[in-house]
Amino acid sequence: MAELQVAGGPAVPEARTQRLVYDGTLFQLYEIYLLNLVLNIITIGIFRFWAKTRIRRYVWSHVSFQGDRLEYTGTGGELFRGFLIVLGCVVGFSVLQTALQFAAGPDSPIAIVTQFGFAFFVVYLVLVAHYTAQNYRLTRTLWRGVRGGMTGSGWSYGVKALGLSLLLGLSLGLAQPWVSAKLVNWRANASWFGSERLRLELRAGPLYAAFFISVAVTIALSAVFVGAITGIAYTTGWLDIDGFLAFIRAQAQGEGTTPDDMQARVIVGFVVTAYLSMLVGFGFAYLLGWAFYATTFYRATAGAAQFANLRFASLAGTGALIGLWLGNAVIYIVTLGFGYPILIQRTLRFIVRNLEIQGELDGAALSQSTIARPRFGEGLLEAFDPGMF
Amino acid sequence: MTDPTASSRASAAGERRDRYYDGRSAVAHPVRVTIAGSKLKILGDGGQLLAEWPLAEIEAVDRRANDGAVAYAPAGALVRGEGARLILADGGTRNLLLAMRPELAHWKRQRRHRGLKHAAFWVVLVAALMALFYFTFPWVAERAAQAMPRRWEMPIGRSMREAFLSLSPTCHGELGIIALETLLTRLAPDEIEDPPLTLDVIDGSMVNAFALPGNHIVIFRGLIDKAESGDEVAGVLAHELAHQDLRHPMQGAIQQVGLGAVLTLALGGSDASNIGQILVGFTYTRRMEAAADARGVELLEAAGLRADGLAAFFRRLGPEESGGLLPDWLASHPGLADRIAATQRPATGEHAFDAKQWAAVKAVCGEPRKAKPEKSSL
Repeated sequence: MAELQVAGGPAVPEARTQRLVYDGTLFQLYEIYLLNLVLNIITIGIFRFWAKTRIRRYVWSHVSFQGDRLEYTGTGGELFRGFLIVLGCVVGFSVLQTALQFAAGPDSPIAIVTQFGFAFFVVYLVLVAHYTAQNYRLTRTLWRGVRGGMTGSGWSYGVKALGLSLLLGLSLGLAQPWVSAKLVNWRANASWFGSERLRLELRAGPLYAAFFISVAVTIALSAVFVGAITGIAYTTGWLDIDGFLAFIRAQAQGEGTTPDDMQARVIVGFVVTAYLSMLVGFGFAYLLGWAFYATTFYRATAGAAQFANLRFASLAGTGALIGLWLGNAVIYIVTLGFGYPILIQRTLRFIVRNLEIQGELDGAALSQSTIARPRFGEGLLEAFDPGMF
Repeated sequence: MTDPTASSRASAAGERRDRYYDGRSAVAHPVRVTIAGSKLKILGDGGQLLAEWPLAEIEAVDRRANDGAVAYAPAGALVRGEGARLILADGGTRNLLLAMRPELAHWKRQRRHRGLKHAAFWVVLVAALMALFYFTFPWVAERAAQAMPRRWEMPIGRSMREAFLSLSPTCHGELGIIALETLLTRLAPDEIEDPPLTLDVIDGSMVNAFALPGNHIVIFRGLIDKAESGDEVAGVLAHELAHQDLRHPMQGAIQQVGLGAVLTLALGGSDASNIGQILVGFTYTRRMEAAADARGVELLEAAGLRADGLAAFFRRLGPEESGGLLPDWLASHPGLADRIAATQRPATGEHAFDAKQWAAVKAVCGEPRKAKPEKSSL
């Protein structure tokens, strides 16, 4: 009974570092996933909000920290209502834009301005969504009866993030580490769990070396992979560049409006090769090249974070992350998407294995959050970026 | 709980047995429960009373698949988002609670059905809204197109016409164009003279003609090659004019834009939405085609011309069309047999062209060619 009397104190007193525990099983995840799949098909996809909630409930309640499990308290109805609101906004804006285009003509400056306005509006909504979705999940996560939340406003975060995104474009992507560090810092420092705020001081400077190495490796690997794929296609005769150019030239001169069988074969070969080089070549180059930057980013973020008296460390190595990404990609492709629960298991095991938590959280000092619970789900993010869970 | 080795084992594995969270601070109180009258009493280690819940209003929140422990919440805690929870391991004191409220053992079935009921409600609601939309939107689009001044079609019509003309070269046989335009002027009702009607003959082998917004009509050389009399071409032109008269191009544009936006968003941009859009689009076109056939024949008769050309042309298409891949109800145009029956007229009235004009129309793209069998979708 001795341990139980210090309730709220350290569950395992002798350990100075600890991990999250995940004990979900693949079989149980598949039970949930398969029923979701059937109901999704029956309801032409509208069930997806309840489906996502069912998966989250399972995953949350199988993650425990200091001996107590998380609980997910969100509902499918909340997600669905959030989605409907975003749908309303976007439909309203696009109807307005279409009406303006009809009235003013496609070449008038008004039409072009509203078209740009619409694009900005959507980008802005996605940025706001990153904030509001995090807020929704925090307010719907319970640990020992205490939940989280975010202070500050998603709308003003969206404005600031939109400004930084424009800056990122102007810098031709070179500001990427700086911009992402800023955004992560903003969101993290507005995040609370119970009466404690997460503190993060992520600095972009130390990320730059890894960033440039990853960019260089990604570009080099892209060149190698795309070169190899097109080279193999060319030597095996699949890719007939001369034939394709001849066809383009004939088209430009207005001869031969419809391609014959031979030309059709040339075009199909060209398109398939281009598609393969894009998907496989760039895709794998990205997986292999970007993992180094990603692990550096994780390590820096974990090292710069503090929650109450807890400190964090990321042990994720580049090889392990490549293994996770590559494995997930291959499983997803080979199983035609039906391996999704395997992806969830692998990802959670990876997080649990590689996130080290130093210190013990004193539960008695962590009181209930006073942040308001939003009434709607992450409709904004749901509409544009389905995400993993 | 009375066996110290059991509880220390549970603790080492990171799990305590019966626990209570008060929803105010992140403390897991080890507890035991007793039942007193209609209340469930939650007692701390020293026997102090931590909470008292009305038995009848306790809800099951979650049942862990691995260890069978069930989490319970007091009345209304879930709705209000409160965190007070009682977690009872399998057996032991939980049986006390279950003796009073047996249904609390079946979290899964209860909760799942509740979720399904909500989902079913929303699915029915959304389906009803979509059905409402499906039936009212064509009507709304039709009214909107009718109410819109014809000049508003000009910008979109101009760009669509340019897109068509960029596909292929156009034909400029002077006498042929004059003959066709004369016929068009004779057929056109007064209200479609502004913006000015235009006619373009495209040098393509497709057997087809289109009515575009902004009073633009486009006809393909293949159709002229295929026709064996000027009255057949006149029938087709009258049909396209009827589309203009009935404001169909604008109505179609509104429908496509509106449906595309709504379906893509509702279904998350999946492939299903495209199929839906095509199916819906097809049914509108069928209805509109039938209306244009009837109105086209009226226009011919009002101008004192022979009105049997359209039916004759359909009959010429017959043998090839019957081998089409799509069944009638799916195809964009009403079944040919139905259309022939609906446009059947006596062979009375003037011919649309005299022999010289018809020869000029045939030669509008240069030397007349022999008609090749081609798929058509008039």
